[in-house]
Amino acid sequence: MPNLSAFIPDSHRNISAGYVETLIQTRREDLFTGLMRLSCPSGPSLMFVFLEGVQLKLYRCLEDSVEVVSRQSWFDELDQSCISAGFIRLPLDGLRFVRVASEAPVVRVEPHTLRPEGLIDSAKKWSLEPEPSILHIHSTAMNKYCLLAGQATPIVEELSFGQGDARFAINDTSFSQTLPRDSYSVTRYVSSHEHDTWREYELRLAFGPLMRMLLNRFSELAGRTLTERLCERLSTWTRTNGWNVAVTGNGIVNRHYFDTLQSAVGFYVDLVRYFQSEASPALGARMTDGISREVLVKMDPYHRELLTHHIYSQSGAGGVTSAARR
Amino acid sequence: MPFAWKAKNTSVRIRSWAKLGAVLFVALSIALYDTLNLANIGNHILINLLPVIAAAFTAVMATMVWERFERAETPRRVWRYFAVGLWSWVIAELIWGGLDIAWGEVAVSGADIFWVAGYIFFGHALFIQYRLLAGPTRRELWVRVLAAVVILALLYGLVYHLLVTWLGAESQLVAVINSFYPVADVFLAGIAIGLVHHFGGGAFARPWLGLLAFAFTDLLYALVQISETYAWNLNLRDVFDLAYLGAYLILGLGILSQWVFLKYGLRAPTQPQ
Repeated sequence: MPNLSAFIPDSHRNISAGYVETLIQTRREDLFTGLMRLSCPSGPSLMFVFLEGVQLKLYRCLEDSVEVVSRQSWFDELDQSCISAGFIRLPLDGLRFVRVASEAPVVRVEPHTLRPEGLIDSAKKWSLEPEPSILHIHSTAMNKYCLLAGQATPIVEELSFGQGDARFAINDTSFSQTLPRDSYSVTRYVSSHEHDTWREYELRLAFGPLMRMLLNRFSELAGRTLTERLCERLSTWTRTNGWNVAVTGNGIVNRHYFDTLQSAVGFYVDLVRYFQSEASPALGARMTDGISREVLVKMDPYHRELLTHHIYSQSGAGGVTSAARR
Repeated sequence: MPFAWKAKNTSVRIRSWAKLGAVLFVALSIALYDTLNLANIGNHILINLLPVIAAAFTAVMATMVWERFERAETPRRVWRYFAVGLWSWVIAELIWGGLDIAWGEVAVSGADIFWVAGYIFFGHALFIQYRLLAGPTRRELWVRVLAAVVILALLYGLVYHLLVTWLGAESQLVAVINSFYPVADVFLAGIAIGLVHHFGGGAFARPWLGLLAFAFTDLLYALVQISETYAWNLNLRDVFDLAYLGAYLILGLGILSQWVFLKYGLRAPTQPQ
């Protein structure tokens, strides 16, 4: 799997373990969001993930693999003299990207050499394949990573590394149209969508449209004023429960970093359940279930199955599961 | 926060007061029907004003629901036609009451124009509601509309035949108009049952429950009138007049319930069960 820590430039060299602690403390106080790399002479480099000053994850970056270090072992990992440290700022979406790229298993690696037009055709083909993949596109002037979720998912997330910075973007399979006319080394890391990391990623991609369509349908039936009030209720509820997710008439704005599939599923199930409990007094339980069914039917079969399996089978929405599977 | 304004309490209070008002109105009407001497013109006017008041209450409620939705929203169109239909009925009740005071019971009158118009507006409102709920394709829509038209036409023909051949209607016009009401009531009741089923348990089902009560009462009235029992049985006439008041009020309360929900609706945030 790709080692993204290699693109974090060193900003502090020949530093002690005590100074590393000071650097971490400073990032906490600065509410830093991004990655921190620590290179040690006697072992693999380490990569911390920070979200608004909070350390979320620590990765051990080996030569050809990346391991998640359990929180209990963080102290042991840091208890060695490091020679250098570096930081790179990333938005929340970038951190999510890093999680998938670092934690998803790699089933096989395919090296290619492609020009931009060939890359468009290949990306389209790969995006239709059942298994997801991570692309590393590099040339002398560029290093770009892309997530292709497969199953005809049209969204391609990109993370480009430049001179000491990184840029996250969302695109589609024609993303390489904008690349300079050059020959690129493309490494395709084929992964497995059975893994929790991809499941969480796919659920997030599917849950946004689901909520948008649910709220649109509610608005069609109950009007905009009531929908706005419903969104306020849902947003208040997510905030009260500590989730950084806002609900608007256009769907959800998910600013929460879910570090496990279980925590994401738990949130989605609760949100759907809460939506149903709030919409039912107006529309009735049958109609509320009905609009969930309608919305699921409108989604593509793969995402419908995913949402049904992970969310509706647990949310207790009567009749939705069986009807959606038909 | 002891002084905080609670939307939920307000909505419960409004609905409770409205229910109490409706019960008192029915009780007062029963008392008036029981005690007033209709030979007195003032009493006769008062008795004929009761259904106008009940119909106006329902029409005002529907207008308030209509006003809660924004211009581009589909439910606004549903409620616009529904409110216009109810206001047609208010005019019909006024005309019918005036004629009743002036000439006594009349089989067919100008009031029927507004009653029939009311049904047409309701039909259009329910058609929009059906399209909104079911989202049928153009083909499905045509097939269903055609099926409904054929069934209603057959039913209309049957009732008309019954009136003309068996019950000896006063005139062809009376038969044509009096055949319309039971068929239209069956249509409204059918749609209302469908809507109550769709919105089962929700505040949005309540207006349609009210419509069902109204359609049922009107259907019974139409059948009794067709069989000419209504004209000579004074007790039955009083019972039906009061049943009409009740049906108007049930419809009005159902619509009020939706209005209260639209204005104050949705409960305070709670944990999911």
